Amino acid sequence: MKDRINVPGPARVMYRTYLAVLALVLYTGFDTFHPFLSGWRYPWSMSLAGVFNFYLCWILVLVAFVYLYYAILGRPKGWNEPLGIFRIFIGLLTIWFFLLTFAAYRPNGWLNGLVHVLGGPVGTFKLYELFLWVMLLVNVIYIYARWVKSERFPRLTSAGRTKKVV
Amino acid sequence: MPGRTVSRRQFLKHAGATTALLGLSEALVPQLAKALQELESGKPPVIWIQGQSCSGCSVSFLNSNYPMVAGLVLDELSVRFHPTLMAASGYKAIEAIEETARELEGRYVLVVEGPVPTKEGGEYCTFGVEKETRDLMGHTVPKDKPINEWMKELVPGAAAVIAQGNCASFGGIPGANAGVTGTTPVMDIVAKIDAKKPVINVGGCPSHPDWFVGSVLDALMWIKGKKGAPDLDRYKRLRTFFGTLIHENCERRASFDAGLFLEDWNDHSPDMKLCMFKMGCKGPVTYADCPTRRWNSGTNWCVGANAPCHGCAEPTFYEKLAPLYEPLPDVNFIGLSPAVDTLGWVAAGATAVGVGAHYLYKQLGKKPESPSEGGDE
Repeated sequence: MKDRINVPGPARVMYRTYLAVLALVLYTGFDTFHPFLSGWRYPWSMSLAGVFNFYLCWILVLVAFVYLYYAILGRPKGWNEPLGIFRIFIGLLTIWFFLLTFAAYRPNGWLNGLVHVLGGPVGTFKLYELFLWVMLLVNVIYIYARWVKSERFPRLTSAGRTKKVV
Repeated sequence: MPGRTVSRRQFLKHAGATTALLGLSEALVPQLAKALQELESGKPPVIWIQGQSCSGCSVSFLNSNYPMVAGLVLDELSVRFHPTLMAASGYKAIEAIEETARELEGRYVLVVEGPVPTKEGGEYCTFGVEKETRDLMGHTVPKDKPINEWMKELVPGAAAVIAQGNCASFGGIPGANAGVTGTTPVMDIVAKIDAKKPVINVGGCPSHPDWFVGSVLDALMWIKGKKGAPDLDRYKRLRTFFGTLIHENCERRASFDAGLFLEDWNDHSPDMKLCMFKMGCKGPVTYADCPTRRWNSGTNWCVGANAPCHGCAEPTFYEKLAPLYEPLPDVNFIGLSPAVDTLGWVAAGATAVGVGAHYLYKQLGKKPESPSEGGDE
């Protein structure tokens, strides 16, 4: 039997918030930058998606900052959740993704130096598209890896619950 | 304006139009009128030279209708040298440059159309002759004078330098294969000669006459102390003209938002005003006011004429925005250049295969549960 994994409440809330916001950011990001794919597409919906995408990124990066602080400097006792380094990597990746989003949306803003390094607005635009995929896949890999490390793997429900049901 | 047949009303109207051109507040009309009147009396001298250019920006400049180009060239400015417009030729024309540089040092505006080739001693672009040049036999012969040498001569005495057009500003089409002739943007040449010399870039291929006229007037008013320093972006372009994304003001933005894209040039529905993003429109990455200012006296603009924006006002034009009729260029990754979507789907496939393989491995390799773990029954 695997050890019981203890996840503090704040970490659980932060991750759930992160996942919910990330889902919206990725959806609106793909929708804004790939309007030719398919789907929900009306003038008002596209502009709404752009606004959502840009401003939700701020929530994403704030959660990432708070999580990094919580996981590194303010780590509570008894938190034995595996893949801590992976989550810190995702936090840092999220901060980078936010910077890239900001640069893509505001190429003449305070991140214009980054835009210049990335080859101008076109390079930033395309790299942002690429990192939409990177964020999606890294998080999918994390979710799978976390499932593998959990008590319930390879089931979707834990052995204890199964036992009760049975 | 004594001695001229321009009424006060006409003059103030002109000043008002110029203020609108520069995107300034109407409250500045009296100040601008005064500045123009002072400029009138002084007639700021302009030397316009051409580097690796096609003269397209000069032709575009000739389309200026307000202020009219004749008035601009002859009245408001004193264009001392322009290879296309001036009547003089040969030594007389060259003397006009030399005289202006000598007599009006620190007061003239240097307009450069086209970038500067620097390879082979700059001999890819020459005009005029250098003095006291000897050939291999020791004979004194006239030698063509490269524009690079002209720049060294004219930049130090210029009040400001205007890089006219995308080629002069950023390299443009000659800069797309800059290694051949050593094409160098004007601002880089100026920076080597005098790093503090003010340079204003006027993007566009060609540049809009309003952009050029506005930039010259803005620079002149600044030099005369009539207004603050020009509000330039990081590429030294006036924000008034290059501060908004074409995509934001595009008349076909609604089609983009609605996902209505032109996908075939033979589409028989030009009135649908389909978005041309998939046909290579660079509007989403181009900063210019073309949709609102329009061209040819406000008649139309590229997208309005069913042609995708080529991003000609951007520093990335032409090399990084080509091919012009393909969607935005792809990311270069270790020498490959797949579309981002392709790369994304391949990575997603690899992830799915990896996750699936791991899951199967874990399932197949799993030991059977012992009776004690399976339950008490």
